[in-house]
Amino acid sequence: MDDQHPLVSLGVPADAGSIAIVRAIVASVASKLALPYDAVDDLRIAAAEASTLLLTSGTTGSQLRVDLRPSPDDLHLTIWVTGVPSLPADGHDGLAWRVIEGLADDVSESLVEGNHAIELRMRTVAS
Amino acid sequence: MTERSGIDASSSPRRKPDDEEILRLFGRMPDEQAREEIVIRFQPFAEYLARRFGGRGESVEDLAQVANIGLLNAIDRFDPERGVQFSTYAAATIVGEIKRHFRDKGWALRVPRRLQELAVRVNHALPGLIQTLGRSPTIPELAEHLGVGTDEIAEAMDAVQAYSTSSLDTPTDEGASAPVNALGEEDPSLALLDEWTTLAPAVAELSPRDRRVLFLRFFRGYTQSEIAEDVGVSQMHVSRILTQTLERLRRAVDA
Repeated sequence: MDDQHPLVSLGVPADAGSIAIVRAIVASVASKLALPYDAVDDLRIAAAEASTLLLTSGTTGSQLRVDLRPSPDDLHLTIWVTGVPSLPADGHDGLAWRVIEGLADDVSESLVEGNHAIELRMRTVAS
Repeated sequence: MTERSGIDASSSPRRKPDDEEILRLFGRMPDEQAREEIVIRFQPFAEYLARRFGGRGESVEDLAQVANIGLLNAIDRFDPERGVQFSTYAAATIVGEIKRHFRDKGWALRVPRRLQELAVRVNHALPGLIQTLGRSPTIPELAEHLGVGTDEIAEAMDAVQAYSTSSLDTPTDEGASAPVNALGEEDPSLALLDEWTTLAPAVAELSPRDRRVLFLRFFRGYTQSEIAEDVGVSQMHVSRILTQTLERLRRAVDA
C-alpha cells in the first residue's frame, strides 16, 4: 500500500439498506484507478451481490465490513459480516455466486477474525 | 357485502372474503395452512388495490408484488382482539406499503440534473474513446476527456441506475429502435441459460434481450461494451439491464 493508494475501510450496519453505501464507495475508490469503465460497474455489482449473499446467509451479523485495497495493478475488496462465520451449504450453487464469479477478475474466500470473507479482485489496464 | 372499509372493496372483481371465516382462520394461526388460506383469499383484493395505483410509472406487476408484501405484513401483525376488521386493517397496510414504495422510488428518481446531463455526455463519449483506445476507457481517462472530476463520473454512474425500470423497454436514442426484435426468439445459445432457469425460474420470464445480456456477460464473458454493440444499445443501458435484472432475479430467489 503506498501513500497515493491508502486502504479504505468501511463498516456499516448489517442490513440491506447499507448495500447502496457499499456500491457508492466501491465506485468512488475504483474511479481513481486505471480500471476500465465497464470493470468499475461490474465490480460494483459483484460487491453488492457478495454483500447480499453474506447478509442472507441465515446468520444475523452486526456489521457489514468492506476493505478496499487499491494499487496500481488492481483493486482488491474484502467483504465480510461480523458474526457470520460461513456461507450456507448451497452458497456456491446459487445465482449470486455465479454473478460474483462472472463479474470479478478473481474471487476467493478467507477468514477475517473468524468471519467468512469474500475477496474480489479487479485488474487495472496497467497490469 | 355488509361491511365497508375505508377503501371501497365493493367494486373489486371479487367479493371480499367473509369476515367470520377469516376470524376462524386467524384463530388457527400461526398454522401455516391457515396463513396460506388467508393469503389466497385476500390476494385478489391486494391486486385490486395495486391496480388502483397503476398508471403512475410503475408496472402493475411490480405493484402487485409490493401489495402482496403488504398483505403478508398485515397477516403477521393483525390482532383479532382489537375488534378491527381484517379487511380494513389489510387495506390500510397494503396501501401504506404501496405508498412507501412510491416514496422510496421517488427519492431514487430525483437525480440532479447535472448528473443526468453528465450521464448523457459519458454515454456519447464512450464509443469514440473505445475506438481510439481499443478498449473501454478508464474513469480517469473519461474524466479528462470530459473535463470533469472522477468522483462526478462515479456519481453519474449511480444516477444512471436510478432511472425507472419502465424505460428499459423503450427504444434508446442510438437508432436501435428494436433490439429485442433483432434478437429473434430462436437463439439456441439461450438454451445454456437453462442452467440458470433451475436456479431462478424468473430467468425464464425475462425478455429475450435481458436474457441475452445475461448470457453474454456470464456465459460468454463479454464486457459491457461488447454486449452493447452486440445487442445494439449503449453501454450504460447494458449496465442498467444487468443491475435491474439481477435485482429482479434476487427478489424472485428470495421470495
